[in-house]
Amino acid sequence: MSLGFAKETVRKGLAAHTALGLVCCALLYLICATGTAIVLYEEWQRFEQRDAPEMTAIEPAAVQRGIENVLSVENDRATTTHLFVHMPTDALPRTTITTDTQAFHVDADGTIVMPEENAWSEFLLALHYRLNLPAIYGMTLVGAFGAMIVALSISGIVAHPRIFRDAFRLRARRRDAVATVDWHNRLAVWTLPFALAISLTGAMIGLFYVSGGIVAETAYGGDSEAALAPIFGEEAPQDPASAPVADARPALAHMARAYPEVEPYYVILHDPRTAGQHIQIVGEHPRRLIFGEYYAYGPDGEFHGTTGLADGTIGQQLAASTYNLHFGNYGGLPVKIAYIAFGLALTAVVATGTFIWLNKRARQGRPAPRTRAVWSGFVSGVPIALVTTLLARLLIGNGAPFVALFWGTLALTVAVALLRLRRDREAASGPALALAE
Amino acid sequence: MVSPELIWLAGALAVMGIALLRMSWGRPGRAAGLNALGWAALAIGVVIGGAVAGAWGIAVTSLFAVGTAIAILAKAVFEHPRRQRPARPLRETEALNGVGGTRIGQALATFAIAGPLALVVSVLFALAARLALIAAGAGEANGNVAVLGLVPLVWPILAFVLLITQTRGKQLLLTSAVAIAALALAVLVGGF
Repeated sequence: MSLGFAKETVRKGLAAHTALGLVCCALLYLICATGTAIVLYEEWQRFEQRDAPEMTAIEPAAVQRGIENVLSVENDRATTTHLFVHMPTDALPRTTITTDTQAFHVDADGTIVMPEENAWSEFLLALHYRLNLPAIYGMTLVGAFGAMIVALSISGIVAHPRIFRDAFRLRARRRDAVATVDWHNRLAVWTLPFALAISLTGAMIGLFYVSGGIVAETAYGGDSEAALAPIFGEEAPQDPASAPVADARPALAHMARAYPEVEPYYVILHDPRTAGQHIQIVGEHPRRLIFGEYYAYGPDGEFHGTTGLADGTIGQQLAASTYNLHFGNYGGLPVKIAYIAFGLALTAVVATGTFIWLNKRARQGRPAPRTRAVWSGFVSGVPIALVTTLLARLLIGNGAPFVALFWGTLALTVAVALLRLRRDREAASGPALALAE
Repeated sequence: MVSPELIWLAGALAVMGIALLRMSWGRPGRAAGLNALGWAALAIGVVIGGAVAGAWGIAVTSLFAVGTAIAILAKAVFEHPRRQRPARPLRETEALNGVGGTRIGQALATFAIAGPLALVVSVLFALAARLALIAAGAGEANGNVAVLGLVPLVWPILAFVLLITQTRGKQLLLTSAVAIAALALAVLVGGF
């Protein structure tokens, strides 16, 4: 069975696929590799700080005590504009309270136990999200590469006229160029639904500065918050007059009473200790792709309504589904394991794509040993650099210079690959030179 | 109300669909019946998944299908090839698929057209779609999300079409056509 593209279209499709792949391969490989690792974001956080207090649930009164304890710790500075209480979940059974400047783990009574220390997980997330660059540039770049995965998928389908017929043809044991091509094509074909899902959602998230920015610029006078308000709701008006801290207890009690099937996993206090403060609870809906629904409450716990992420417009539901669909956190550990397997497959597709091009050059009699060495060094360097930073986290601690370590190690592995090539060349030419002397 | 437990039936049908396709495509000749059965099992699985839990059900059913295919491929890793022919030597023309011989200037121009220019045109297209949706009564939320969703979809499709378009003139014509169509739509629905 073939898709029936004309021979010329197939040739052009392959040319486009090759050109796109070569332009994008390095950063695409890095994004895919880190994306695979970040599927376990919550698990990495637990691994980083194994002695943090854990619990399966926390009482509303303890949540309120935790909020007040953290705010009192910050009496020496300007009151935080937002305070987030992460409620215990299956993936991350911890209660963590985050302000504008710091974060603490609290125990089941709401007592502060220790500061949150998850710098490696945050580094990994930042590397995947924005390549450690400032958000506007990094996210846009990553989003653009997400879009290019879509283009690579389309061109790959066009370039492969026997896509279905060969769908299970994997000559993995050949240990030659044919095996590399088979690995690339078979993994790419079967991970296609996954690749399209994560690349489109990733590009939606990453290109927000472009697409959301242009909507804001053309329709809302440059106000990004106003552009997002129809989707995620708008911020309530501020009133800076001082007031006692809002009470989360009646809000949580209302959630348990009115929405027993919904699992609250974030309590957000907006403008705490001001007259304009209000509470938002983010609730997870079982068997839904949406990250949750926003439940709005006043400072005394009076219910104001929902935003509509769960049952509003299709656009709202779609926008709220991108994050979970991208990161694979919508079905517990089994879905995460599937995402890791498919993520590894996609990473291998990117790596083998460039090797196929290098093999073709070699078979044509125009080998590119330096490029091959750089690519080999890069492909092995990314996981080596990630493991190096993780070891640094374990040996040095939360303050280890992860960004410098990662990029330094990566540069080193590429340099080592080039040095090995040079050594091999010298070894190969050595006897001939000796004879000549 | 569809029983949530039916998600397992959807998953089983997805697994069965992939297994049937494996059997069908592994045969030397065309096996239309098996092919149809395989695709039908997959389609029914996805429909049941959707009926059970909407987008979540479809996503989970798809994971069953992809996981089964990857598992079948994993089996091939341990199989020895029956006979090994050396990789076919390549002719000069097909080796680099036209990339290596491209002059830097031309390559940069192609990059500029398929990259930033196609992105700008895609944004125009998405903004026009937003205006059309809002004019049709779809609401602001749907209109704004349409922009967020269309840019990453239209850009790669347009970039690919531009990359397989041979001449520079045709590339510029195509981008202009999409841009003009978007502007025309925007004017038509009263966006300007």
